[in-house]
Amino acid sequence: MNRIYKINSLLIFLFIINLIQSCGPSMDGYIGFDITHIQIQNLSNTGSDAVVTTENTMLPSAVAFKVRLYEGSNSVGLRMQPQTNFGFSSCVALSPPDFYYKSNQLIQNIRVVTLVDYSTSIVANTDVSDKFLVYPIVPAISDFLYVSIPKFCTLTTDQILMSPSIEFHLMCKETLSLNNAQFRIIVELSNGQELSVDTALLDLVTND
Amino acid sequence: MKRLLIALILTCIPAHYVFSYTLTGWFEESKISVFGGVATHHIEKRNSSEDVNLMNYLSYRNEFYLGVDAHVYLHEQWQFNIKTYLNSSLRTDDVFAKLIYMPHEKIGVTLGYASIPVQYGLYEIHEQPQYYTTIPNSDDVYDFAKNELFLAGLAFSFEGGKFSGTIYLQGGVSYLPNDFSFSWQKKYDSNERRLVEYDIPESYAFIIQPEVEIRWEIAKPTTDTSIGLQFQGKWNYSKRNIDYTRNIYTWTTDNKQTEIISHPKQSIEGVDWNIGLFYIF
Repeated sequence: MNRIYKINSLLIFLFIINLIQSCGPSMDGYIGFDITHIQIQNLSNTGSDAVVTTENTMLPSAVAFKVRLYEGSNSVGLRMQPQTNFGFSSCVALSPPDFYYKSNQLIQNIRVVTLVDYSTSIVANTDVSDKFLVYPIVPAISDFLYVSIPKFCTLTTDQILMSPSIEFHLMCKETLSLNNAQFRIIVELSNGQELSVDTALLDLVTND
Repeated sequence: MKRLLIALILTCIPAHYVFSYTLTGWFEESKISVFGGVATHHIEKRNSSEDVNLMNYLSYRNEFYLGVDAHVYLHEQWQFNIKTYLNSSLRTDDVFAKLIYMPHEKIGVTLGYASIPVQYGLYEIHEQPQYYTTIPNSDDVYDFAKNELFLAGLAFSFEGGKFSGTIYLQGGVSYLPNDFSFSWQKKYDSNERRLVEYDIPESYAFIIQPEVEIRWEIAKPTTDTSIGLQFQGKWNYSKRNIDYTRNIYTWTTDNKQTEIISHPKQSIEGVDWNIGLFYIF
């Protein structure tokens, strides 16, 4: 009886100091990554879902882009940050192990500047950020509806991600009246860095 | 069909056991019947404005059913009846119960309860021209609910030779519970997205429901038992509308438009009849 008591006490102690790990990775660990690059792709949003397209033609009522912010180096996966936890670890059995990521920089702001005349009253080089909304992909923080750019910046703060990148759709909520469109997307990060990318010059054509 | 018969037998045997053996002394007489019938409901459809009229998308199951009915004659002129239908999905969603007090040999009063499944056609409600529609968290094209009836009325029994029966004149309240449904909609050839919610509060309507039950005794195996054919029929009528609150969030959750929609009342007419065998013991 005394032996059982001692063994149980030892096991409880080992669990408390978290020496015994369950069969899977700790869920608290994540890999930090730097946002150093920006990528933009055109979206075709004529159907029920927006899909990436290589064509530079869009409907004037469905101007949309996919933006990806990521780290340019290939060493993200090698930087697993060790985490020390006290207390019981829950028993998990995950195979293969999942990795979680977190951006080392926060997104402070996203600006959209039109590079050609947006309309007859909004000329080239005007900030048209208020004409755009965001549909978050990574992190997936909205079920269906869009969020405003300021809200998106707030929502991405301290998000644990399933991949080492932040991805979102940038959707214009107005129907453009001119035949062409081109935008510069500028992402302001918390480390003072600005990433910018220009969209292709788009031909806006209607289905008629 | 085999499963259906087994289900009926499994229902009847314990009922017979309970009524005739365990609770002997409580009951003066018991009746069990099995039957097949058809229940149909007709809901008045009305062309509505651009606002969805939920009454146009409400429906009852109009189908053939098999049923079991247990009727017990208690002490002091009290009677109790419970009935359920086994539908084509082998589900007993329809339940009917009735308490009858017969202070006079031919005239009595009743209190009744019924629970009848109804369904809303989800996609018919949510689908809009110019929008792709998705109904999340739904694995069916219907949203199911229970229409509950709370009834009171008079019972008139009659007897002549081998025929006997009861006529019930009942009225009361028809109740539909609250419901909630939402869809995601994306406009054709546009970036516009919206979330449409239908918030339906519970609603009540007056209903009248006369019923008739006619029995024809075919044989008396013993002095205390009899077997025969039975016909049950009922008709009900009510007028109701289903008001609701519609929330439309366009583009973002901050852009919400709320409307309270109401339509004029529409009639619901139901006919339910069945024929079967009864056994009194």
